[in-house]
Amino acid sequence: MATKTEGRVIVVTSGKGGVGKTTSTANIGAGLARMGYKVVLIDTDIGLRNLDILMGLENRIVYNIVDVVEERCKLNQALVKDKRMPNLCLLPAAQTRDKSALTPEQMKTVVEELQKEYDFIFIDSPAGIEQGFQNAVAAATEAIVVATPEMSSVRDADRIIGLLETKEEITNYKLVLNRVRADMIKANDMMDVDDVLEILSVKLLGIIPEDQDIIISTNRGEPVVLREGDKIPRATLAYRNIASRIAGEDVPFLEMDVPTPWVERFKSLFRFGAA
Amino acid sequence: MSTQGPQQSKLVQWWIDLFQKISGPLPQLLTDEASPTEDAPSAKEDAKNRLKLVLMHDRTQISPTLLESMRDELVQVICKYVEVDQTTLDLCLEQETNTIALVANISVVRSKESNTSA
Repeated sequence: MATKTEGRVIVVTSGKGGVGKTTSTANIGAGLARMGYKVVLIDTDIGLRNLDILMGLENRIVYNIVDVVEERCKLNQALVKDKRMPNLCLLPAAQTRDKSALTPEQMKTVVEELQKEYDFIFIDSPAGIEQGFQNAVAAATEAIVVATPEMSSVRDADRIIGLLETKEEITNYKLVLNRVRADMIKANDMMDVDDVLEILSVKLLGIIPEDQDIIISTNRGEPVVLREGDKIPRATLAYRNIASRIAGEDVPFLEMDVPTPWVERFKSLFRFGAA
Repeated sequence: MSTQGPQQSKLVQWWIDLFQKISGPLPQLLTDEASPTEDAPSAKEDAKNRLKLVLMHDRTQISPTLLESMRDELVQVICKYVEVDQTTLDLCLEQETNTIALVANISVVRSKESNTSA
């Protein structure tokens, strides 16, 4: 590793809260670590940290990012090593402070130091477009915009994309469409992937189906991307694909198809009989 | 039925509910393609159209109120020269391929000048 290139810095953002920023950060990061890359995840949601919970590392936190920038500890002391993979770690947010405890310049300093050591630095942004967001994007050169196929989420994603376009340092941004429901799309009750891409005119990084295994994984503190075995959830596959795409592989997008419910099957049978 | 006690009518209602639950999908099966949402736009189309409109206002930062006052001033100017049908007057934002256009649709009744010269 004598000629290690600087790590890629990717911010995960959305504008709207609750669309899956933290889940995506945890899973894409863990997915790349699973492939062997050295990955660090930074939680910039000061005061409302949650990335530690999703990673199952909430009991191992000693120091946090504010302790680092206020020089109460070394950067290495604040990094929490993942219990499953030695090449994955978390830089937690402070829980008892607010967003003003961090500045964009301080973020840049921290990230620059991490870039020497890690292949990927993922920055989990807080919801909103205020200082927390500004801190999160300050050091990034790439962005992942997370949205769900709902009006409010798409509207906020559009706003975020507008803001990302004004940042010269951000050279590319792509969309992760989360909580996609094939059954509702089929019934014309939900916008499909193409609808959202057309409205936002953005490139697609991945599609995550609505999957209850994500909630189960969160409850267990184990990112769904790390599930192994013959019958892995669709969300696991979706996140693995995203990780591969970020690493430069050309992976086709998941087909958003649902098994035909019995009513439909019966209906087609009936139609066949009538014809 | 009026002689039935409350307990019994509850039971009857239960059977009716059950029957409706079972038979619910049946008419749909038999009518084949005829869906109830055929004339009304689907929730998906509703979302798309509403989003496109709201994003045009967001991106241009032109609020409906601003559009309204522009419309009123435009009318005043145009009315100096031509007689227009104010009921059909429409000013809105439209999405072209890469740009957002301000589109005015104004029905002209007659020119005021030609009116006086005639």
